Amino acid sequence: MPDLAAEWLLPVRRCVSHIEDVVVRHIPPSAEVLVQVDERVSATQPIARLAAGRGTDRQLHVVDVAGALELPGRDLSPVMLKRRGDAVQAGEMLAVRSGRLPFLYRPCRAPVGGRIVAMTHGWVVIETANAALDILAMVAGQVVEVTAGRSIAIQYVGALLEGAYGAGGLAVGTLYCSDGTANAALSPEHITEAVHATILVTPGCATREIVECAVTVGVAGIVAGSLSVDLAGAAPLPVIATEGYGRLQMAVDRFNLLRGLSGREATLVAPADDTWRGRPATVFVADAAHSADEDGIPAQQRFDRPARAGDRVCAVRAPFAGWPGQVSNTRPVAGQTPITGGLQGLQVRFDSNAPTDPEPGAQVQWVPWLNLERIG
Amino acid sequence: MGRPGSLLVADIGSTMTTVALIDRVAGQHRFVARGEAISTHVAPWSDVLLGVLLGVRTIERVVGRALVDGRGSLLRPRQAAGDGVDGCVVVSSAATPIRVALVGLTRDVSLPRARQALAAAPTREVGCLALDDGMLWRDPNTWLRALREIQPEVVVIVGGTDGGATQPVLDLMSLIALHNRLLPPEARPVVCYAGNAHLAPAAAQAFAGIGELRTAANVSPSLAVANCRPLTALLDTLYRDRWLMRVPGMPRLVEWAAAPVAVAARSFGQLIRYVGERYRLNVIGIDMGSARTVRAEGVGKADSGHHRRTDNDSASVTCADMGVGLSVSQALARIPLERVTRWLPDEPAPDIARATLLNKGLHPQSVSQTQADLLLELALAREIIREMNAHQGSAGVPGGHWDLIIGAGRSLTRAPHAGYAAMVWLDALEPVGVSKLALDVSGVAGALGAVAASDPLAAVEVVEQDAFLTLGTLVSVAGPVTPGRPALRLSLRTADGRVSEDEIAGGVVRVIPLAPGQTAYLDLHPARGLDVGVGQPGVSATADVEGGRLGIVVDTRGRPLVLPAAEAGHRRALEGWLETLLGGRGPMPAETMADHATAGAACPT
Repeated sequence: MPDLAAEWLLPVRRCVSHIEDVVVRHIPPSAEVLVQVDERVSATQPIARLAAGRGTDRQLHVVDVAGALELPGRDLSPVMLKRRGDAVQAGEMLAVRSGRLPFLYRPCRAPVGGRIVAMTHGWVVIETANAALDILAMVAGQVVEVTAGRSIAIQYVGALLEGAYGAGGLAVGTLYCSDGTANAALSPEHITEAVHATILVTPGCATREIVECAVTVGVAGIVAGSLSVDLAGAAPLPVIATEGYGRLQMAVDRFNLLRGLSGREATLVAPADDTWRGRPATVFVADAAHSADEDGIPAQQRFDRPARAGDRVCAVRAPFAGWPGQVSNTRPVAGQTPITGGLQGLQVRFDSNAPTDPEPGAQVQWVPWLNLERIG
Repeated sequence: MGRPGSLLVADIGSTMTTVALIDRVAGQHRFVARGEAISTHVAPWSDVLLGVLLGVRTIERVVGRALVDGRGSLLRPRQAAGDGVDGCVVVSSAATPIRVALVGLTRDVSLPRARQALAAAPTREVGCLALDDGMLWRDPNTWLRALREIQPEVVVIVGGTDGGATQPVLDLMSLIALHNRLLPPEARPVVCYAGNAHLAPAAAQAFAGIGELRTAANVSPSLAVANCRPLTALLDTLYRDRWLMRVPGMPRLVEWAAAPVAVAARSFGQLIRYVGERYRLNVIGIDMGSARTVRAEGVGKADSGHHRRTDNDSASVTCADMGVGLSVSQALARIPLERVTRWLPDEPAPDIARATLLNKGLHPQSVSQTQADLLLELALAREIIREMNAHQGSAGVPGGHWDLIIGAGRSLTRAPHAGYAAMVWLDALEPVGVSKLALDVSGVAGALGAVAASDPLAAVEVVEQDAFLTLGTLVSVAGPVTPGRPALRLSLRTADGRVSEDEIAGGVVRVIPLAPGQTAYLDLHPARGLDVGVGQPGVSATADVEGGRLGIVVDTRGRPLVLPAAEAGHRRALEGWLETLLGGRGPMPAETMADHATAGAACPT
């Protein structure tokens, strides 16, 4: 049988201690760019700004002037006292319909204060509040490309860990590992004021109890091995689950990376908007000692090649969910059980008998290639 | 230019990309080889072409010839030395569905018809707003707030019959125009107007300079007539020309095909409709995908007494934003978990079941390695199909009387045993009478509809020869059954003259062996009160049947299907039915189960 495994591209969740990556931040066409090429930015620095009144979340109030004044044809031109762009105060007259007789005099007053931004179809639209909307860098690095109205590319150098699931937006804080061991379980008692404003790392499951404690003490974000299902779609603070849902332990590769970075400033990115477009939830720990111009930057890890022997991988489905290991053989092998008999897979040498077992067990198991992901 | 001799067909799904080679073998088009890869339009690759090239390279190694050159460009046309292909067809469902807000006058006429049009297109309804929803909806502030909250990409305006209501429709237009006017240009949704046709000029005027307007024929030209297809076609075109083209790398793939990328759901629907018309059968096809499930019907029996669809009725294809991969969370948001786990012989703890399914959503390309995981996924598949059926009904083919059931989608076609697929179709569709069951094991059924657009004969030849694996014949009785009491007496006469008779009690699933290619004649005598597909309880019927991987599967559990009530009886019954189907002759052939290159039925000469 020909060795066809060379064509098997595996999904990727990067877990690298040092990488040079380019993060593209997509910006709306009407956004003003605030940075320039070669400028260094921090994660919370605004890189673009939607001017007041240009965002989609403006505070607007529509006044049905034509309806209030019973105007035929809803034509406002004969009655308006204000024009587009005028500021108005609450209670101020916007328009008046007058006639020869006193009782035909009818004013229409602004129910709110603000600025008139539109007059159409008999309606007057008052903008009651407006604020510029800042688009943050979300990663610390150096701006390498600016395409006005489209995107800003930031070169990032440092550690990077991609999660299976993330939600809640952006968090910046000091990375804090709850315990030195990869199979420790975090309990609410460990979440004290000492972890305020940190990004808390727990290798186990982030339960509702843990998350609520974290919110109470002001934890900035959580990176956990897994997330309790009752928090699916409803986590009250930024959270990343590296393996998924349920009671999965964080793969030891990922935990060891984060443990080694404990005490460093990290950025947790799990946004819901379109500016992150397609990238997974990620933890970034910028390496301040390096810059794009220094020699010796490690070569960009490339994940666009098929699997090879020696690749670090992690299994994603039972019975080996969360187990890290290495591809030991790229010759395709068929599964041997009634369930897997028709599938093709790879031999994987797992690091140990369990994802967090520190003792090397050198277990070689067959895993369908679709159930593996590369982890750097 | 003559007929293309060889065709490269690429189906780029939301999770997996399948590339297949169709070539002329002994004068006929045959499916020759297939390659697969994960879809690469997402990070870190962000280029759909990478996955396609991996699939192509796999095919190259199987057939021993080059299809692309050193720069990754398709060799076209086929060269004298044999390298290359004559044509390329691309279908895709890789883009996210269009987020659509429906806006209309009332909820009882135009809006349901608009929803019907949406259901046949790759869309996700994110809001439905009506003028008659109450006094609050007379206030434009309510509309603005609602629209800003749902942030649609497309707003569909319907309302008024042709020549009917005008002012309320004009008011609707003004409200949406106001919303658009207050947004920056790049954030304005596309507006599709499909209301009172006499007001189309007014719509053009209302949206002049404040956004893109597309116009389709009125979905309700009169109260009695629904005309959903033009709106569906408009949304399909938008999806094809905009949403699919935004998929990273797709424009380069369009160069390969020298034609627009076809929408996968539309292509599948065309195939099902074609099969129904060509073979004069009532056909239902279900393509269970990772992000979306497509249900298509082809009504081919003009004289069956069933309503024959017109070209204006787009109800023959419906798409649900639910799947067994990327859209698992959407499915679980609509389907209570208990409805899923009721199909399991061993019911897992709810949080374990939910976590398993949600994790499948995080790793949509992954496959079940354990029986428990497999059964859970297939249970979800059942409920997704049942949920679609419940909303769709079966406007063309009442009561589940289908002659042919076609299944597509990896979760079923790659199941380790044909019995799993049969069980899902029986439980999900509840067919009545005699139905043939076929599976798209080649993985190209979804694309054959698009192939037919450029080479109908090639599509026909592949359909007839290679596309489907016949599992056998299903025989199902409708009506209330009493478990243990005789429900059906049948007599089977095979082509070689052997006759066997059987009396089957109610509440069972039975497999009668009949090998692939073998035919037989069935005499069916249902018990009083049960219908074997003739539309009248207790009336006997005869049928010519065909064997397959499973043979003849007889289902006397009755319709509508009612699972046993008692806890112990319920799980035991599920186990027994599944064991019966798994004990048949039906392991999938190894070459069709492989999830990499497959050598097809023949090699090209």
